[in-house]
Formats: sequence, C-alpha cells, structure tokens
Amino acid sequence: MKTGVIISGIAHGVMVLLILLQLEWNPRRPTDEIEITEVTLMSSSEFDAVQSDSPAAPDMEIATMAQPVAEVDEVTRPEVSVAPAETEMDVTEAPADRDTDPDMSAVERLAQPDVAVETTQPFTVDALPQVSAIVSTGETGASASPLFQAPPTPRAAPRIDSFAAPALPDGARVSDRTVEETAPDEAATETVEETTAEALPESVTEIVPEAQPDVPPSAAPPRATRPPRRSANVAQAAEDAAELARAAEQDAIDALAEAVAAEEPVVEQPAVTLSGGQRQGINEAVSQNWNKSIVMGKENYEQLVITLAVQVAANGAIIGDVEPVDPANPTGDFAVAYDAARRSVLRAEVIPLPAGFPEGVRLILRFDPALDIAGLN
Amino acid sequence: MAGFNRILGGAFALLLTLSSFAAPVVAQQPTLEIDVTGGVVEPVPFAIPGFIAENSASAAIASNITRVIAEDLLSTGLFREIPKAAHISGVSNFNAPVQFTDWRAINAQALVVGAVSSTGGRLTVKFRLWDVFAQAPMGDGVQLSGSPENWRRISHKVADAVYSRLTGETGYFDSKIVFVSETGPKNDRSKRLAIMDHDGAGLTYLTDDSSIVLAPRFSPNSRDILYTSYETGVPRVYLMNVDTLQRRVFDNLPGMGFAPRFSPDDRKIVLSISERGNTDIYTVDLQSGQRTRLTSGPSIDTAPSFSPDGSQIVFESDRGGSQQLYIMSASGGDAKRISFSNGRYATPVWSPRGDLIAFTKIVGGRFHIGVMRVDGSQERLLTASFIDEAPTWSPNGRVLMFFRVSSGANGAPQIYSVDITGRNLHQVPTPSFASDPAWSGLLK
Repeated sequence: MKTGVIISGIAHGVMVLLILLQLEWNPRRPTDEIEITEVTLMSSSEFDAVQSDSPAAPDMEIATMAQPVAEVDEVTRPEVSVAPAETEMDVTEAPADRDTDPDMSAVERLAQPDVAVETTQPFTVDALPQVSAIVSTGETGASASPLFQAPPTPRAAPRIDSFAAPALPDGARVSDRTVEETAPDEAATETVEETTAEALPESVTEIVPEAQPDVPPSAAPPRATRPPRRSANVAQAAEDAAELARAAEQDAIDALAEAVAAEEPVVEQPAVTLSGGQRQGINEAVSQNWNKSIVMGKENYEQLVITLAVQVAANGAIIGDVEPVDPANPTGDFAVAYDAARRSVLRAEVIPLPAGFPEGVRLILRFDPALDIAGLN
Repeated sequence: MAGFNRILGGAFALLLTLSSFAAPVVAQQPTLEIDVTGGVVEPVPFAIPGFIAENSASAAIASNITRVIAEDLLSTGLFREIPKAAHISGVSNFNAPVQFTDWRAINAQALVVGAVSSTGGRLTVKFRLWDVFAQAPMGDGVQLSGSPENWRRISHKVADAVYSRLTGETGYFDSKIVFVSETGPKNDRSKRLAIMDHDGAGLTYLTDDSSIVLAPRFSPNSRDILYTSYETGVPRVYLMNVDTLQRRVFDNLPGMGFAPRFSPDDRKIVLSISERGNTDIYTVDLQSGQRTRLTSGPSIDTAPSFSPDGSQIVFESDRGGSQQLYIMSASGGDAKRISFSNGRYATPVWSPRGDLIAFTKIVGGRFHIGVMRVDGSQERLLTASFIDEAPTWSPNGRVLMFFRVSSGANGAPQIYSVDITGRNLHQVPTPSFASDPAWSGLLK
C-alpha cells in the first residue's frame, strides 16, 4: 500500500513536471503569423534617381560573324536581269506585303551580318520597377486587396451534445456505487452504417448543411463503453501495467519517429464539396482564359497535363500566387504549359463561388490539354 | 527496483508522447479539386510599343525594327498584336516602371519593350519581355549590337528570343531560304537560284538563268548549298559556297545525280544516281570523294533524307509496286516500309526534332503536304491542292515550307508556309515565281 502511494506520488510529480515543461516547450505556430512587407510608391524624383543610377548595358560581344573571304574570281557572275511581268495566277491567296523591294541589282556576295549577341545578363533584373497593381495600401478592412487579407478565422468546432440530459424516468434511482473515471477503450470500435450523401439541388443559392437524421436524445448511447474491471490480483495488475507501459513506450517512439519523418504534421481537413453545376462554373471561368494554341503544337502535347494550386477568398478573389503542384518544378514544355494554365487563372481574377463558401480554400486545378478543345477549327 | 524501472520507462514514454505533441502542427486549408477542360486555341495577344529611339540617329530605324519583330511574331500564327491605338499607356523610357494594369486592361498577355541607339557606326538594340498577368519579366533583358545595315538580322534575333521565351522552342526568324526563282511563260521558264530571309526580304540571286537548276539544299552550317544543274546538258550535282559563290562539281559520279542532301555532320552527301535505267541511293564523302552504294535492285530509290542523328535515312521507293516511304540504316541494308495508306508518297524529309517525317502525298488526283511519325503512324495531311510539293522544315521543326503550283494554262509555282498543326497557311512573298524551297538552320 505504501509502495503504491510512493509510485503514485512519483508518477503525479512527473506528470506535473512534464506539463510544466510542455508549456515551455510548445513553440508558436509559425503559420499563424503573416509577414506584411510595406510597399511604397516611388516619386518621380526617386524614379529619376534610379534611372540615373542604373548601369549602362555593357556592349559585350560574345559572338561575331566572321567576314567571308571575297574570292569570287572563279565564278561567273550572272547578268543583271529584270524580273518579267508576273504571269496571271489563279491563286486566291494574296501575298503579304514585303518589307522592302528585293535586291534585284546583281548577284552579289552575301553580305555577312556583323551581329553580336549578348547572352549574358546585361540588365539587372533585381531592380525591377515598382509594381503598381499591388500597391493598395490605401484600403483597409475586408475591402482590401486579397493579397493582404488576414487568414480566415477558424470556425468553432461543433459540440457533440448541446442539449440537457433527459429526466430520469419515474421510479429510477441513482446507484451509489463509485466508478472511477477511465479512458475509452481504444479497442472498442463503433460500427457506423455507411450512408450516401445526396447532392444539393443546383437551385440552392447557399450552402445548406446536409440533413441530419432526426435522432431523439434518448437514442444516444446511455454511457461510455465500460473499461475492463480491475483485477484483484495485484501482481497480475503490475504485470498488466508494465505491459501497458511497454506498449505506450512503443507507441510514443513510433509517434516520435513519425513526427520526425514528417516535419510538419498535417491535420486533415475535410474537402469542400460543390454541386456539379458549381464545379462547372469554376471550370468555365478558368477554361475560357486557357489559351492552348502554343501547347497544342508541342510534341506529345497530350502528356502536358498540369496541376496547380491557388488559394481563394470566400468571394472568389485569388489570394497570393499560383503554385505548381504536378509537376512541382515544371521545365521545358511543361513550363510553357504551366505558364498558359497559370495565366488562365490570373486572367479569371475572380473564381465564381457559391455564397457561404469557406474562406481560404485551396483550389487545386488540373489542366488536361487533350480534353474538349473549344474554338479549334 | 524492477517496478521503478518500469515506472521510469513509462515516464519516458509519456515524455516522448508529449514531446511529439509539442512539434509544430500546420493546419491544411480545405481543398477543392477541379478538372479544367476545354480551353481555347487562338493567337496569344501581345503588345509591342514602338522601340524607343535613344538618339536622333536611330529614330527611323527604331520604327523599322519594331515592325520587323512584330511581323515575325505575327507570321507564326501563334500571336496577335494589339494595335497601338488600343494602348492605354506608352513606354517613353526603357527603364520606366511598367503600368501592368494598363496593359492588363487591354488583355495584353506579353509586352515587348525595347530601345535602339546608334552611335559610332554601331547599332544597339535592347529589349525586355514582360508577362503582364504575372507582372514579372520573362527572362533577362538582352542587348544586341551590330552594324546599322544589319538591322534586319538584329530584329530577327530579337524576335527569335521573344518567340523562344513564349513558346519554349527555338525560333526560326534569323534564317535563310534558298529556292528556284522562275520567270517567263510556262513553256519557256527560266530558272535560277535565289536566297532570301525567311520573310522574303533581302533577296539575292546566286546563279544566272542560263541553265536549269533544281532542288537546292542547305548544308547544316547554312554556308553551302547543294543543287542540281543542267549546265552541261546533263544533270550534275554542284556544291556552292554562298559567301564566295565558289562551286565544286561532282563529276565523278557514274550516272546522273539527283536529290542531293547533306549528312547532319556536314561530312558527306546522300543522293540518288541513275545509271543504265536504274536509280539507287549513294553517299559520297566530301573529303575523299569515296562513293558508297546503299540500295540496289531494279526499283527506283530516290529522295533520301538523313535523320537528325545521322543514323538512318528515309527515302521513297517503288520496290513494293507503288511509290512508298522506307527507312534504312545510314550504312544501307534492309529497309522498312513506313507508309501504307492509299496513294503515292514522295520527297520525305526528316524533322530537325527527329519526331516527324514530312512528305508529299498524291492521292485522288490531288497533292498534299503531310507529316507522320517515324514509324509511319499518326499520318496527318496539312494541305490539299492541285500540286503541293517538296516540303522543307524550319530550323525548329515547327513550320513547313513547300511550293504550290496553281492549275490552268498559266499555272505557276509559289512558296507557301504552314504550321505542323495545319494552321496558318500563307504564301511567302517572292518577286517572281518560286519553287523548291530549302530552309537553312538558324544562322550563327
């Protein structure tokens, strides 16, 4: 009995200590912080100063065309001839206007261009001009640019039970037996009948929670699953406790390994659901700005499927930048396909979303150029 | 003691468990996945305000350079220029901040800003390309300099750079076309070799019209031309340097030589030689003159073209009873037929990309320019006409040129261009009739 008290005291002491340490160690969640960088407008004088300070583009010549050797002695130059009047043709296509009249003077040695191409970086792209479109510091509150909107406020988690317990039936009495508080039995699993959610009719203009079955309060489980009874054999109980400790230790090690493997554990959130018509509305808003003319000329263009992600506000405004998802770092033809897809999202500007749409939803768009080509003739 | 160890173990487990809860936790936003289908296929709108003349000497040339760049981009059919009348803001300084909202309002997706200066006999052109909707530059600014008389080449190079950044492909504007210029009535047509820019400008003649010339082909370095001439009364293959106009004749061939082409390494040519009524394919080493016979047999094997890596040759042959396309090793041997549909196939040319073979197809009394994969699959006919013939690839493998002969008593050839998707068919301007075009590689 005394040993049990000592053990209990030590255990509680360790727990208290751990709780205290836990409060100290728990770091702040980095994602809750928003770093806002002030963007300032340049005055004309500042701009002039920048201009005067900008370095002159160097005249670096890394490729110069060699002048040809003018040895044409062995060649009989053709006589100058005048092009005859063109024969009338029945070709309907009118030739485009030429930039200049052709050189009809004589057969001349081709003038060698003296072109030097500078392929280094002659201009400092670092000093990019100020982007006037994102300088919207004058607005405040909810009407400010979505670029500077605060993150959405987390919604309160729904309570499991918000109503009073029903009154005891007549004649019932409360048991005087004391039952220790226990954790639910993890081994016990509750079988939930699988149900199929029905899509809301498209005429609904706002999101309505799915209909819940009309369950009377008395249908709730009367009490939690009872824990296994405490064994009367103390030695056996100690062995059981040791077994539980070993299992807990193993679980803790597994959890720690998992936490180390995943640097930022992700808390799963339920996916947003929309009706077919609402999804089609988003598709049309983006696809009508998706120009595939360059992509369609690519070799194996049907393989250039792009998936990108963008965060949208509740009003459909795009928050932040578009980011590639698959491929994560598009290169080559995929980079061209990604540019076209990203441009279609940016041109759309506002994604049509239904009323009551959650704030800050991450929209994942998959662009397949081989599907449904509109405007192709 | 053992019990105490268990307790310590349990405490350690609790510590580990609780410390795992202390790790940073990131709440993922709700997600919504949408498949985007459809899209549109239309020219990408771009804006190109007049390049800024940074001194008075470059005022006129700046305008010309702007137009050539715009015309180059427009000729691809991939882009549409937003007229200057629609521009909300102009660009008066090369380093001035870009008013993206103004360009976005007129739906300009790309913006080309440039400046021109001419000092000390040197012309300097610099430009930047902006992605209007991303509000970011597309690559670094580039500056080119050269003599003022080469302003066209500089313009083509700027256009190539813009095209490359927008499409992810190399351009083809700074290139040459050699072709057979034809003059005179249909029954007495004079022919001579001519060379011009891809857009028809800068035309220069390479030969006179005293003898018939056929099928000119550029070397990979774009400085030499192979062609067939009837100068001596019989067809002979000539090699001409376009810089010096010096020529070399292949006079040691056993018979008449036709349809010569260079190998990709520039070290030998492949051609068909007709001897005693039989036409076969040979290679000739340009250094040693050594001749190697690649095909044999009674059939007509002609119009050979190397693959870009030089390992294979595509050619036309009637060995199967009709004129079809075959592929064999560059060293000869067995050939594999790749064309099987109705009609006759001729003048195959391997794409610089290596993925497609362009050809002339004659079926149902009409001529077509088409492309197929190297295994013969996915054949696509791009054109249809009274006569469409002799395709040649742009340096980037995106565009084909060919010549089209109009029907009728006064029918005559003209050069046309078409995208490999079959769009953007247009005539290439020439001062007279023109046939047998051959596209050079990108000039160095």
